[in-house]
Amino acid sequence: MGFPNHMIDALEGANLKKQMASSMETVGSPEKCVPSTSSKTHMDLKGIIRSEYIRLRRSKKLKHTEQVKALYNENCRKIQEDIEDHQSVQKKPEFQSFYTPEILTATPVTHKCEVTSAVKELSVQSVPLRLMNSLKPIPSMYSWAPLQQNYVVEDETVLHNIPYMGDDLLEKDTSFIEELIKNYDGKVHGDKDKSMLDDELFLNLVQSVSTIYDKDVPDSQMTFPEDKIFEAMAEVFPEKGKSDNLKHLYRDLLEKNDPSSLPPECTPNIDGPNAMSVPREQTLHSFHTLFCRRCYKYDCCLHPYRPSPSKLMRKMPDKKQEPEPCGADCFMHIVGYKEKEVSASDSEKSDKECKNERSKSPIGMTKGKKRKNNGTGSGSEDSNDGLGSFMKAKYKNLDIKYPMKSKKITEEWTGAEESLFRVLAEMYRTNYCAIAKLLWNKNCKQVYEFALKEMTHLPDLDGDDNEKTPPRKIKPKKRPISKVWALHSKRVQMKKDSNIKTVSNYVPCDHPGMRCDDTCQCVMAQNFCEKFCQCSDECQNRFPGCRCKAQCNTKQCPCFLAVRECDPDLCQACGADQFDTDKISCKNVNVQRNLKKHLLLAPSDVAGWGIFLKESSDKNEFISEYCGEIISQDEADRRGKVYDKYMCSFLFNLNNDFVVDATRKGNKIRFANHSVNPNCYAKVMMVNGDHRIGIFAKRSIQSGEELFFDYRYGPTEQLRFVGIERDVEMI
Amino acid sequence: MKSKKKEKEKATVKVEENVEADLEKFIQAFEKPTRIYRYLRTRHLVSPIFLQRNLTYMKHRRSVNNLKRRSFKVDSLQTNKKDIKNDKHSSNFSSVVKYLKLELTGVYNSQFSPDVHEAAIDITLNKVQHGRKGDSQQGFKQINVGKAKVPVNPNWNNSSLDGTQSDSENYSPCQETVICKDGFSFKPKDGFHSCILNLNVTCLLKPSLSNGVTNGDVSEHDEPQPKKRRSVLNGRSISVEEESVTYSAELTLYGKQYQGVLKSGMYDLVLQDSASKFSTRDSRWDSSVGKRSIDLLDEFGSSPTLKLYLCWTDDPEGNQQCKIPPCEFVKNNRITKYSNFSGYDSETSPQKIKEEAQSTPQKKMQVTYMFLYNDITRQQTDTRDNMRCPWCTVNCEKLYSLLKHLRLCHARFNILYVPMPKGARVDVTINDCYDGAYGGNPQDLNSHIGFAFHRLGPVRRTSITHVMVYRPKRQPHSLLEFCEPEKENQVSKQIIQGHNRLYYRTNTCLPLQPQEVNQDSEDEVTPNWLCQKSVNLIDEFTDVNEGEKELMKMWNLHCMKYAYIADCQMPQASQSFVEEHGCELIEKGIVKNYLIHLVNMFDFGLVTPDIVQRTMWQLYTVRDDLEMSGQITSAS
Repeated sequence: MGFPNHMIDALEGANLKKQMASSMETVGSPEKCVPSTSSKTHMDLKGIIRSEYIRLRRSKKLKHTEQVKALYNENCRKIQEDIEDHQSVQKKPEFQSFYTPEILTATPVTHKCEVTSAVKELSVQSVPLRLMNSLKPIPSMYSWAPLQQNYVVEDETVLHNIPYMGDDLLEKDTSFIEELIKNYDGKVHGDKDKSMLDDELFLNLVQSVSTIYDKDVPDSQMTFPEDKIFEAMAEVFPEKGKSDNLKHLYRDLLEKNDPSSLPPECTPNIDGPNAMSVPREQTLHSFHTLFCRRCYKYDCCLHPYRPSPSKLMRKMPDKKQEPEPCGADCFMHIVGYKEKEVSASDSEKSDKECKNERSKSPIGMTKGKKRKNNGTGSGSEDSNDGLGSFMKAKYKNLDIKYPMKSKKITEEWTGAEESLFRVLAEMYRTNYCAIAKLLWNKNCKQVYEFALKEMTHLPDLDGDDNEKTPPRKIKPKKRPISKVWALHSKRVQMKKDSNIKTVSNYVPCDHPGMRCDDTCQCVMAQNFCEKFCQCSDECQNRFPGCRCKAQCNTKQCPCFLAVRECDPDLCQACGADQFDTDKISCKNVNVQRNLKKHLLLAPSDVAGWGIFLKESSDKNEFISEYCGEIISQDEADRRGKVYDKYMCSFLFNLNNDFVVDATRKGNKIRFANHSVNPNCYAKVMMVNGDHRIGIFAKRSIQSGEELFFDYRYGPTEQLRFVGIERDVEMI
Repeated sequence: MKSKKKEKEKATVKVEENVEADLEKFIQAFEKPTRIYRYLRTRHLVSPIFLQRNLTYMKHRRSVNNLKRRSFKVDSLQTNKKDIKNDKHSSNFSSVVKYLKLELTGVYNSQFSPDVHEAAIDITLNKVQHGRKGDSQQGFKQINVGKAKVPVNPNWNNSSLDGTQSDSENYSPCQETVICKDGFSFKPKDGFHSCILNLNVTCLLKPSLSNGVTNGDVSEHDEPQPKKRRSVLNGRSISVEEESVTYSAELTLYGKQYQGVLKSGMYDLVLQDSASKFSTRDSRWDSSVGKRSIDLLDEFGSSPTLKLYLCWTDDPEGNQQCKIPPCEFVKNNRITKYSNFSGYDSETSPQKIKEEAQSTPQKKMQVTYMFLYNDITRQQTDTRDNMRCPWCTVNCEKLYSLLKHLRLCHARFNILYVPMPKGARVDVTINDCYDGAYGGNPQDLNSHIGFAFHRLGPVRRTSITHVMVYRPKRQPHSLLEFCEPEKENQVSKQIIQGHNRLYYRTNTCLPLQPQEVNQDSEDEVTPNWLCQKSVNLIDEFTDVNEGEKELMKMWNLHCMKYAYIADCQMPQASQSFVEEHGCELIEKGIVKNYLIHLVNMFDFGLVTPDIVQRTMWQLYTVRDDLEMSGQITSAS
């Protein structure tokens, strides 16, 4: 078999346990089903397979219904909680609903309700019947999920539901549904696999059959199912392929389902007991791959493309290695260290900042000590301050001291510590003191010794790094800003001349070792390079940011002119980098800061629902961002067909590649109606590398006014979809 | 409605000439709106919603113009008031103080025997101070004005039926003059008291010997006489000691706010026997009381009367009789003031003339109504020579007003004006686009406005908006605007701004309560489902270990909570993460994972090594604190 027997047995046992637990009644009475003889005929086996298959399917179905029931109950409970929550909110401030007495006297009484009794003595009782006026129902609303930021979804490969639009349509226009299904290549969600044998079922089937089959053979439970079983399976389910295929499939599935064996690419938890000593790349692998440099989140739902950090430039330590030893036991006292260090520092001498740092460091030391005397909680006191350069400057001069009291030094290096050292070594280089402090259980001498050991089988980090980022080493003086702007305006002019109105989605460029020239994807798409690009800070194609002191709401501001919001990392003069929203003077950060107006929902004066402004707004003020699912243009075409039929669409063109669809997910502004004489306008802006739709006031709008914008004139002036022109008498 | 009947009559005449179906069609087209407007007219007469004269296009129907409103300023209210007051004080101060002069002619009583000659009169003045809050008898002041002696039945024998006039003109020498020494100051502000003159007349029933005898003498002398007299006259058991009979009368000089100030002139005052109040009633007296109610004038014959001449003077001596009675003068002051300020007469008259000049030629103008129906193929005409609306008979007086009225008040019709050499032609067609929906303030329909007060204290109400003043720019009146079909006027669409509707929640479609209006359902940056989704997505990974997963979930939720947007926020973010979730990190045992996360951020160029060190130090401090407090066992 070529497979370690003992391992498989363990796996099988585990799987069986799992199966037993999940469906107790399934393995109820295997004995009476089949007479267990070694000379089982092929036909018997097939029969066993069939009966087992039916049994398993039934139990699976049962399990499924149980799951659905549980989910339903869970939902009921959640709804109940929500209702209670809502009621408690309502009770909080005093409020009495206004009771309007029924005014029925005005309506004429046309009918009477009488009760006559057979007993003569009882008088006839009568009550006037009054017709109640019919109430106007609120417009219908399809459920949608609230969203405050766009959400990228993938194209749907199957049609999730066949839309119901009334019986009339189905009768009249049968071709529509057919066409719709054709768009999805005939795939509709919920279509059953023809064979009805999915992977899980297959696995369970093989196992249960093999247990029955091998019942009488002593010690046979511990072996891999015999080939006979697979042969029989292949005959029962011919569409699954030959017996060899089935065998391979079974093996793969076994591996996948085993909880005790980790997949080879998964590193054990570094905080766990099984932590292993692995290279740096492996330790950081999941962090590197999942972290979104643009959202600062792991596995974000907005940016499918994530650059790997190996090519990114890092913020190098502001502080070089302290020349002073950290204490009496410092590794610097080790004989042979000094000579090495001198040669190392020679190479750094070219760097002027290095010198400055050195002269500063003693001051930093004293300050750090002072902080320590202040007590342990001092670290958090800066947390409420504004961020930005101010904070950075502060940190620069501060040295970090750890509470040393409870530090236990252990002699052995655990796997976790070894991995951690490799991770930290790249950051701190030869600053073993700092590494030791972060490692907690080691002193710098140990770290130094371990580093020497490591050095022998690791390539030189410094040399490697220098090759990777050539611009860093040169480190030219910063170009004067005027020159940057001259270049920039030239480029803008060129852009205008080219006279192409299309706007492409921004994707960070990644071409190591090359400048951003005509082959760069940013240049080709006529986008600026952003801070997320892999090119250097001095890239020609970068947007330099603004230096406005004002509010950045006129065309004087280059950001405003370029239909961009001010980048907090580029534009610091206008205060876009302020942490506290109240302190920002810049008015060009509304979308990123989510500084929207309060909107209220009510039945529209025009059609369906409408959205109304709570507080008045001036001209050009930001109202709200138009949020929704970001879908590809193809997907929008497919969805648009359905929306066209519904005469209701929330599609909004974002750029050449993507469309925002607020049908399923969105925010309140999705209820804004279309008008040819609108009071709002939409603008697609580049906000920190993303295109986002801002809705702005076209004129000053009073409180309580309904908001309209012109659906037709999307930002890209492409008429994607106009439901029905609801231009009532608003002309 | 007369006009309608007229139309019908006219129509019937035509029917005889033409086809009956034509009339049928006409009625079919115009019956419904005409009925509605007929009903509305009647309703308007009974309970008008507005007054025609207040409409801008009906200005000429207004009898009082508001020219002075134009120059009116709220700030000037006080100064205006002050001016009025000062003026009064400066010009009329001296004359405001008046003195009361009473000339008492005599007491007349037919039942008195001729030998009774004199009566003593005690005059007092009661000033009643009326409090502001209803306690009317708060201040009561009695002032003794004086005493006088008057003859009883003077000239009884000489001029029996001469009446008062002759008496007033020829003052007999015997009359007594009493002047009230305290002046009456008529201040407009001070009108919270009323003044009553009290006259007590004591008649000595014993005949006096002479006219000029002193009071004391008289009383001593005529003691036995009244005894007899009274016993005879009134049939009462009068004690022997009684020698005089006392009558009293009250004369209200003025009431509160100087109402009904007595004018100068001759007065006959009916006297009442004051003793009767205290004596036991007998049948005769009762009957006399009953009689009085039947005929008041009889009383003058039967009861004793006091004749007196009352006049107001400017000086205490009573020489200068004031020309105008004080009441007039209080009134007059006001009237003159207003007339002076407004210049009412001078300005109104030319305008009236102008209006008349305009309206006179129009009166002759004929207005021909042409009712078009049956897809404007048929027509009926109706000519009238006044400017009354054919549906609600409002006299509009001017052609412009008429047309405006028709357009605005009878929107169920399309009104088109066609100038004609002799007058005007008005084409009337049915307005098919008429929208009969509710056109009023929508907040009157919604009942969620709520009370401002509740038993348990104030409650929140929905804020509502009303238009208090609306002054749109009005075009000058021109008949041309009626020459073309009406357009939807956009200005009139959104007069009422503000929150005039019931709002609904976005998530449940339930009505929004007033106290919830300020809560924005989109306030939270990340909805719950998105948080859960991100957690689920992380959980789905197979090649990520549980420590990493845990950290990633925590970090994601942290980022979602604060919505970080910039690289420069990352140091802050990692530190606040430790502050908020430090304990959790330690309890879950993912401290090293957090360190790796920080290194990862460094790899992406978001934080500096310094920040990594600082943040970790912070975390280790938290761990130390926890270890110290014994919440966790020492880390391995």
